[in-house]
Amino acid sequence: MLAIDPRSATPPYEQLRVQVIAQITSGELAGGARLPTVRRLADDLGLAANTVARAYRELEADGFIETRGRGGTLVRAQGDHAQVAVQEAARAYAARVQALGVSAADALRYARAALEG
Amino acid sequence: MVDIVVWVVLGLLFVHVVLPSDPQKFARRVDLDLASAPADRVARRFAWRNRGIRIGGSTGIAAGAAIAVAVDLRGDQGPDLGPLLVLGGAMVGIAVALLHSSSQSLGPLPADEPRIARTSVPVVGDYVPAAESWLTRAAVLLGIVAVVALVLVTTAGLVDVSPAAPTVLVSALVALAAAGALVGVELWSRRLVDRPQPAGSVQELAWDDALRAATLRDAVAAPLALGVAAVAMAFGILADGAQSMPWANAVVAASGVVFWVVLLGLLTFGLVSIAVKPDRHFRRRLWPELTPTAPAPTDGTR
Repeated sequence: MLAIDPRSATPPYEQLRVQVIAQITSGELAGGARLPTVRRLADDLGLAANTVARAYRELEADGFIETRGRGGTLVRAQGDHAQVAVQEAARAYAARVQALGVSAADALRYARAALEG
Repeated sequence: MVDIVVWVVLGLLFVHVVLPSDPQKFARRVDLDLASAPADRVARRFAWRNRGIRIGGSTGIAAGAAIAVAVDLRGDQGPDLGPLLVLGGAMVGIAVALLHSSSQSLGPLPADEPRIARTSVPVVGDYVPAAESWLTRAAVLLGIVAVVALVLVTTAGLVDVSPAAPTVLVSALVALAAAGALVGVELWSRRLVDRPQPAGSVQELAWDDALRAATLRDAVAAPLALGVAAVAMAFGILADGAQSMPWANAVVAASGVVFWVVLLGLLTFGLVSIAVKPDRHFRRRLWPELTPTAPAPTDGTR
């Protein structure tokens, strides 16, 4: 179930994006599950179609969902793609660390602090 | 003619007294809590639903009775089609009215209130048990086959009925109406399920599902009733027309067997259907973990 609170400080598209990710990573939304169309979800949640489309675009860019034209919007095989997305982020982080000349030990310490903080 | 008046009165009692549902009883049947539902929106939906049953049912009964009277006034010999036409008319009228009223909008929810939506995409099978859908298709097919057989038998002169007799034409029209109603209901059902479901709470969405399921299941009753009516008419006309033939006993016996097989099949299906609580089919498919008084989620996850 998705819930959008218009009084929240978090923009609706971000509320939507975070909730879909939470459901995918928790396994509630399995890989291959079909998501509602942009228009249907926008009507259900009282949002502009652009808002839902933006959330879907970002979810697709992060590898959580994929759009297959007439086949609709599907959840991508969840665990693997989340892991892939995190690994890609880690690679980007490592490249940045190296470019800045920061030691690996320090970079790991910063990453652990960020994860645990 | 007196018979038709009796059937019309019974039909009107059925659609004005028996069929309209009380929200409290309905809530118990579908295992949902009325107290935690948005009372005004649910009450309005029920008012539309009951009005659709009364107006649609009465109109259908009037149309069925008019056809029965027209056939009766011609003075043709044949079985009494009045009860079947009144029943079929009532079911078609109710289906049309309910499908129409289900397209009415309750107006927008308050813009500053939280909204919820499901991430899954429901289908008609989430609302109507597969057994009911297949039984309806089977009844319509059986009705068409029975009427085709009737036309062939009358054309071959195997019974004392003209293929152009009003009773034969009416049974053919009922079979055609059954096929049309089946196609119409299936198409409209998909459209209805694709419509948005704006809801502010889990209970409101569950109530919307409950009323959708009731509408779709009531609509399916129209082609089912017409299909059964077509079968009953065809065999009634056959049995009646064979009276003066040497093989009258065989035809009457065969018609009797078919009648009882269809009747027992429907009764068995009805009993099994009641036993598995089809009213709660949507609960099992869409809300397996919902308790009647479940609070609305606050974090958007379930």
